[in-house]
Amino acid sequence: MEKLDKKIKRYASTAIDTKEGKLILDSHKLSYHHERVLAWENGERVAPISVDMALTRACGAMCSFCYAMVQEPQERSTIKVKQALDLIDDFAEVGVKSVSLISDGESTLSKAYVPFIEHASNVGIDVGNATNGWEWEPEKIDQVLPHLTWVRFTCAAGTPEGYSRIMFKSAEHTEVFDRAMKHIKYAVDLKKKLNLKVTLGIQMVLMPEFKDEIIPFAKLAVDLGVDYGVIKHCSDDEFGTLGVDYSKYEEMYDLLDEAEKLGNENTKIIVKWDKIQDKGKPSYKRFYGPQFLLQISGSGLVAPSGMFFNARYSKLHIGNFVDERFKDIFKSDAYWKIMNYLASPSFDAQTMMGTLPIQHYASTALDMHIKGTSRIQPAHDEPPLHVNFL
Amino acid sequence: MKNLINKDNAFANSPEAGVEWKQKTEKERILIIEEKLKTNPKHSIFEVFNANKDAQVILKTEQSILAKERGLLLLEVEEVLKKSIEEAITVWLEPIGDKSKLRNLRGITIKSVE
Repeated sequence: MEKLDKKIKRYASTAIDTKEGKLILDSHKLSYHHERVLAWENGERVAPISVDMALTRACGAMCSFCYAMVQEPQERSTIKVKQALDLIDDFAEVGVKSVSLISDGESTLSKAYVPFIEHASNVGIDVGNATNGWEWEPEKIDQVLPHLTWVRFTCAAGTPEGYSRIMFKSAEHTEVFDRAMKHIKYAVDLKKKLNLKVTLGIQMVLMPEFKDEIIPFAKLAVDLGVDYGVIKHCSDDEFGTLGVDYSKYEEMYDLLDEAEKLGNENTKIIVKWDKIQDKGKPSYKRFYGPQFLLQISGSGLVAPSGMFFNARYSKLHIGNFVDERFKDIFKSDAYWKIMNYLASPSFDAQTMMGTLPIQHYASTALDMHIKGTSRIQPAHDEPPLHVNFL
Repeated sequence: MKNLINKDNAFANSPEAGVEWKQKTEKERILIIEEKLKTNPKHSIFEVFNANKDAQVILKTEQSILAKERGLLLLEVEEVLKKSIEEAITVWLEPIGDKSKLRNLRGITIKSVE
């Protein structure tokens, strides 16, 4: 009970004040979409507020923490520019408010990358992008940065050697670190020059064996002048394929505290305590989050969550937007039957899926809402930054 | 479609395998499932790869099934097996390993059972 009380309090007070507004990274924003929560509770077929997706499954990095290693679906369809633009039109038609280019591939490598972002911006859908930044060169940055709500660079470590060892072939290959830093600095300068609203951050996916990189990472964020540096846990599948030892995170709490203190007015250092302290086990059994935050693979596969992209979870595969329009997938029996399955006792989120999915915050809040332990209340304050990204 | 989002379902435990299922050998479990699958031509494309005592059943098939069809088909198979054999049966398909040659240099091998 004490743990639940702490969780409720934490969820109510995790906004970080920045110069540009409140930033919520370690919680959810469902209070700002309260009407959709009520409609969902009443059994209405609500559209996801946000979609997390990739435009390809390809990636030039080989991060040791990469969850894409366990996300291989049956098909690897190539997403063409027209299909990507149609997808945006379908998102707008059904009521999706934002798209995060993250998921299981490096979207900057896709030919659809720039037109997808420009088109989304034109039809009023917010776009965010997580990237290693290696192929995100000045010409591309010039084209997309004015249209993006946020960019988050995957940055596994604060030292060039640590970064290259974790994200590429070996500690000697520091050219990838140099390239990423050059592009991040370019974006930071462009943001200032054009006075853009885009939020720029770097993210460390923390595995216990990377603990010596925590402080250098925080210092790097400050030196780069990005808006934030965030440190989060590493996800693993339910079989422990990636070998993440969640029992060792507690030993790093002091270091993480120290890292947070290195933040300043310009650059916040944020630790995703909620996920880290859950140690890989969610408090919920049913999985409601995907109805608000859907995931699409860089293979075109539409599934409730990236946790289910692998062929193993084929019973939770809904469709592929390369084969048929997303708006038809959204209206299909498969979409609603699969979402309903996740809300039924046949599915147990504690044993049948990987740890701490991107829908974790929303799922935790929706579970407490349905159980009546903490109802989601409508927000009356100024919306935080990135309000359409849950 | 019935709305399953409610307090009772939120708190409910998933069904656990019964004694009868647990007492069978894996060979017997596989046999009983395969017999059931054979009774429906749509379901007979699946073979049983693994059926453990916790009623986690891994199927495999040589056939390529469209993404829009495989979810509904496998949920249907699971429902039939739950009703006819053991309520706790949970169906999965044989997993696929990462096809990225670069990431495979990490030497990660996908696990399918604990």
